[in-house]
Formats: sequence, structure tokens, C-alpha cells
Amino acid sequence: MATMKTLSLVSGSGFKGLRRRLGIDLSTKTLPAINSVPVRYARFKSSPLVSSDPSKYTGFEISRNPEEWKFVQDLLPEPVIKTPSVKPQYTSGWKPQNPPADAPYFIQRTANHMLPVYRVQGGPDKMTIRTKVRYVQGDIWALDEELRAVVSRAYPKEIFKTQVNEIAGLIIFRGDYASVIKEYLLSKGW
Amino acid sequence: MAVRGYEKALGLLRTLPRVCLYNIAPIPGSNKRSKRGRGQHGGDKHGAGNKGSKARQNYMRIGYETGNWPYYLKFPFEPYYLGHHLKRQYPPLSLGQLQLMIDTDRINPKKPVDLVQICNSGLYKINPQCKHYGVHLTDEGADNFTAKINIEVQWASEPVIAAVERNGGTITTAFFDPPSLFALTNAKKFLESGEPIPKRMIPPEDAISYYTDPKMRGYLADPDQISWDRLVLAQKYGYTLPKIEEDPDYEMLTFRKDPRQIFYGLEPGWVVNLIDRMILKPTDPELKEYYKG
Amino acid sequence: MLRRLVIGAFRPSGCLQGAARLSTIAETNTAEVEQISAEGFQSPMIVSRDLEFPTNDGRSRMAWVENMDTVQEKKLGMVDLHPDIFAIPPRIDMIHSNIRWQQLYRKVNLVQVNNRAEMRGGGRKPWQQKGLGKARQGSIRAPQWVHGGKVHGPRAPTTWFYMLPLHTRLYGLRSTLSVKMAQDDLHIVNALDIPTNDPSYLEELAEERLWGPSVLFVDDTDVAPENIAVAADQIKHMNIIPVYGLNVFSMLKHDTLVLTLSAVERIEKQLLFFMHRSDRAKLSEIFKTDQV
Repeated sequence: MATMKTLSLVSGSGFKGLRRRLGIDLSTKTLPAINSVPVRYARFKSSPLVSSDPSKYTGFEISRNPEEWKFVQDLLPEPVIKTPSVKPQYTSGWKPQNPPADAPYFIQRTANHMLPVYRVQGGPDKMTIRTKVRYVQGDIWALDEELRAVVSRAYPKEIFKTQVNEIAGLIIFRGDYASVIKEYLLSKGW
Repeated sequence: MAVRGYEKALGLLRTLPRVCLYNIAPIPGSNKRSKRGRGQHGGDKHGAGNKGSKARQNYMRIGYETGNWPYYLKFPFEPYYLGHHLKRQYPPLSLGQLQLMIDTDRINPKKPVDLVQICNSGLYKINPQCKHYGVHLTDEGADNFTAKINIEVQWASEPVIAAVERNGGTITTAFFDPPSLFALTNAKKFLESGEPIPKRMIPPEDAISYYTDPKMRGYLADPDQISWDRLVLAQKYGYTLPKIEEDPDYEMLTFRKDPRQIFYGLEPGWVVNLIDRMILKPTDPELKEYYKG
Repeated sequence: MLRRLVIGAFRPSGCLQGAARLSTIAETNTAEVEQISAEGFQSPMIVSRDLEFPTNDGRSRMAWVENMDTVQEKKLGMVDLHPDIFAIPPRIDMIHSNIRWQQLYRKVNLVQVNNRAEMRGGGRKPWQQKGLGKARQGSIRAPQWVHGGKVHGPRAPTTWFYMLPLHTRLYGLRSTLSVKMAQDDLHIVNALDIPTNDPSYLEELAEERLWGPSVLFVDDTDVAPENIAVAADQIKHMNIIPVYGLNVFSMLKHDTLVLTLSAVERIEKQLLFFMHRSDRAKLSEIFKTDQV
């Protein structure tokens, strides 16, 4: 069979190979100084100017007007998603979380402050729709029972299955029940 | 307080051996080892049947019909994709989504809202490279739209305009050419690039009629006609048009961009230096004339 | 077993004497805290921290702040830790994914086995096609021959590079920190200042405090204090890394994880920032090696 050989990333072995490639005289014991560094013109700082004559560049004036700078600052995004401020009314249907104190479970809101209820499409046939409820802490089985009751009340004739993943804090309903579940959870204050 | 599920798992860990490199494992069945095709596991002919060109790695090119003129060459063009490269797309944003963004403080209604603000929220997907020309504000959720804003979008229909104006807000439809869109959709990246702010080009021929139409609140339309049309629309949809002249936010609501301007308050031709916090403005008269006109 | 019980005795139960309520650790003068402790302040001070992005789900974690300047443990204070970083589910499968990624993404296979074209010789047809009663052969280096080329052998260089999604990596870090916290292998110290550069000091300290033989010290800065740098350099199983070097593999390889207060601040700030960024959608996109 063929023998294995290891591809060496530098021709020759190690340091001696490098010196041979650079054409350095191996008889001397010290390396001669390398005066020229390869310049790649890939960075602004290492690239030379187009012309050393300043008259070849177009003139400009510097402005440090604070009024103008306000407009520049308005263009920059908020880096972090902040907690929404309290408002008297939210007409979009969004509600801040006000969880019941006696619930045996806790459903954490997402980073966008929304309910972690998702409609997911997938599976071997690529068409099955499932409803995922994520970020469930506590007694997830109690929540599963509640949600099953809610869904069977809304769809009495439908047969559905749920999967509870206690480790990941997940409940997956087989079917599209996202709106029903969201409505119920919002009404409870989640 | 009830014992939370996370606490249950973490509590279990206190009695279990220390988690180390040698006692962690993936979920059983998550890593499927692909079997080598040997013997009964897909071996011998490896699914290629007996003899033939397929078994002998002698494949014909895809579409070859053993000498017939192939289907993919029979038709040199198809009418359905005629002019596809000229068609502009406007990814939709519903009024309901906009209201949600305002409710959750992702968009500030106290300042003029344009494509930059919508993209900066992080909740709107647009890619100018895919011929996306801006925001198409749709009327879904118009009934629950109660925000008073000064919004500039790229496409809007009559009910949307009515929904915005009935709350005392203003809406403008404005066109941006692709180089401007690259600057608008990722303003931070553009400002960091150190390029001069580009000037906006006029809309293409098939869009001129839309952006000069006061009914669509086009940015090139006559402002007096727009005022008239606001009244007309209010009567058509049956709401009292709020008097924005008496509104304390009147200045903000009527803040508009010049037809050549892409950012509020910043003129084309300027170079923004974010690190030294200064703006470089060209002094050459030729350059100034170019960017102004 | 004994180890756990001993540490259990030191675990805070209920409220201790609350002294100053200071807003952030950055403003806390740790030297002042030490001085007060040294002067014989009987109970440690509770120093509260404002946590960004509170979870409001009732989870909370507090940890002692210990000293490093004596072999004997002295408790200087107690700090709040963010539950989304130090009290999340211990997902062993996510930790496994992270470790697998850490080991594989930089792997480059340089082994090359020659194929029939690369083998020396084998250009000539060994014998005529017909007439000899032998099998028809085209080259002595065909794969069926002894010393022939390997058809699908390892071809250098092959990379095993792949990027785990950002949130999986973040979750791995957070989950491992939670595991360390839950199993009492996490200790917070005010600073890595030790009185001598003798390695035996560190060994005695770890022995006294029942820290595992291997200890990973994490500090906010690149440059560690001289004494601990010299001492730890001579002990192979005690290592110091800056905050940006924190990784799941190192945390599990070392038995005990020792974080400085400033390191805790920085880790929390960084992880929480990445978890709550406004451009999460863009970060969650699939990693492309040729992205502009």
C-alpha cells in the first residue's frame, strides 16, 4: 500500500528550511537584518499616499458643530434591546409580563420581550407544523396539562400530541395552535 | 416559592460527580456514524445495478437526451422573466408590526422615522443586493394603529396613508437609489467606511408618476397639493383631520429631506469621522455644485 | 462527600449583617474592604450589585468574595450573580457540542496518502491485453495491486473547520459556569495578589481551601500580578487566563474555577450584551467563510 507522508507547511524542516528559502547564508551564525518588509497595500495605514503633493488632494473644512453631530448620533443604532417603558395603553396587543405569583412554572420572555411561542415547520415530510413553547422553568408538566386543556377546548374534535422536554424547558404541540396558546398565556399575564 | 425546573437539574448536580471532559456525552442518536459500503451494508455494486454507463462512472451531462435537441436548449427565452432585472421589490412592513415596534420602544416616535430607523431596530429584513428598494407599508393592523409619527417609506397605499394621518402623523413616500440604500440599510457600516455621503438620484421613469403624486404623498409632489389631498382623504375615510399646525411636535412632523439628501440633517458630499467626532465638508466649488444639483 | 459538607457549612443561610449598599463593584474600594476585614470586622460585608437585564423569575445567586493573600480563607463580602449566566440548565449535550467544536474547528489533517497518479511508476501497461491468460491490467499502481495507490485515502490538507452558532457557544459558556457554580467549583476572589512567588503557597492554599488539584484563574487583564504569574508558571495544573480566553474546554479540564471580581463583571457584561443585542437576527445567520 501507499506510504503516508505528512505535508510540511514549510519546505524543509522548520527554521533551517525557512532560512534556506530566504536565501540566507548559513555559514554566518547571525541572521542579517531584513530591511524590506513586503507591503501589501491592503490596509489604510500601510499604504502609501497617492501623491505626496497636498495640492493634488481636494480641499475640505472640518466642522465640529454639535447640532450636526446630533443627526449623526441618530443614525447609529441602539446596541442593546432595552426593557420597554411603561405606557398607559399598548394598541398592538403587546403586554409587559405580569406573571401570577402562585404559578408552579415560569415562562421567560425572549430577548425581544415577546412570548416564546413559535410556529415551526419541519420533520421528514417537511410539511408538518408544530407549535413550540420555550423557556419554561419549574413544573413544566403542569403547564403541559393546562395548555392541552386550552387547546382541546378551542379545538374539541382535534387529536393532538405534545412532547415535553424537561431538560430544555420545551413543550412541542403537533399542530398549529400558536395563536390559541399565545392568547391564553397573555390573558394569564405571561 | 415553588422549586423551578432549572433548580431541580442544578440541585441534582450537587450530588452527582463533577462534570468533566470524560463524563460528558452527546444526546444518544444525535451523531450518526456513516457506514462504509462493505458487504451487506450497501456493498458490491454500491446501488449502481449491473453494468451500463451509470455503473461505469461514464455519465452523460445533465439534460442530454441521447441526441435529441434537449428541452433546455429548445427554448432560448421565456416570456415570464422578461425585465426581471428591472423589477423593484419592496419588502413589506405592516402597520401592526410598526405599532409593535413603537410599543416595545424599538422605534422612537418622537423623532422622524425613515428606513434608517426601521433597519436599526433590527426587526426588518432588507437586502439592497436583492433589488429591494425599501419599505412597503401595508395596511394589516391599520385599525389598531394609534401612533403619531412622521414616517418616510418607499411605498404606501391609500388606507395606510389614512391610518397614519388620522392619528395626527405625516407620511411621505420617497425613492432611494441602490447606492443610497446601501448607506441607509446599514448606516453604521457606511459611516465607518469613510465614504462621502452620496447624493440621491431621481426615480426611474416608471416610478416618477408615483413619487410626484400628491395622493401618494410623494416627496417630489407639490406640498400645497398634498395639504389639499390630506383634507380630501380625511373626508373620504370619515375622520377629522387633526390640525398639525397646532401640534407641539409640528416641527418634527414636517421635517423633510431634500430630494438629493439621504440622511436627515446631513448633506451629500460630507464625510463623517466617527472616531474624531467631526464632519469633513468639501470646499471645491465643482464638488459642491455636483452634490447640490 | 466530606468536601461538599465542609463547604456546605460555609454557605450563607439567611441574611447577614448588611453594611454598605454600594451600587457597583467597580466603585467598591476593595482595598478599603480588605482593610476593614483585616481590622477585625467580624462578619463579611454584603456588597450588592445592580444586575443588568433582571429576569424577575425568582432565581438568584450569591457568592462569597474570598481573599488570596493568606492561605486561610477570609470572606470579604458577598456578591449577586446574574441567574441567566450562573443558574441556567446544565445542558450536557450543549457542553459536549462546544467541546467537540473547540477540538475540531482548528483541526487540519496534514496526512496524505498517494493515489495511483501520485505513486512512483505505473505509467506503462505491465503486460499485453490478450493472450497470456493473465488478468488485464493497465498499471502496476492501480488500487488492486500491492503497493498501488489508495483510492479514497486521506488527502492533505483537510480542514475540519466549522462554526458552532453564536448562541450555542454563548449557551455553552453560561451552562458551564452554572455547572461550576452548582457543584461548588466556582470561587470568586477580590484580586490575584499573593504575598510570595513560591509555588508552594498556591499549593497550600488550594489544599487548605479544598480546591481541586487543578485550578483555573481568570482575571480581567492580560498581565497577571508578578507573584502569582511566577508561582503558577511552575505548576502545570494551575493556569491563569484573561477573560477573553474563557472557554468551555478549559473550564471542564480544570477542577476549580477562580474568578476575580472584575472578571465576573466583565464576563457578565459581555455575555449579557451578546444575549440582548439589537442585531441578533444578523448574528444568528449561518456563518459564511466568504462573507464581506
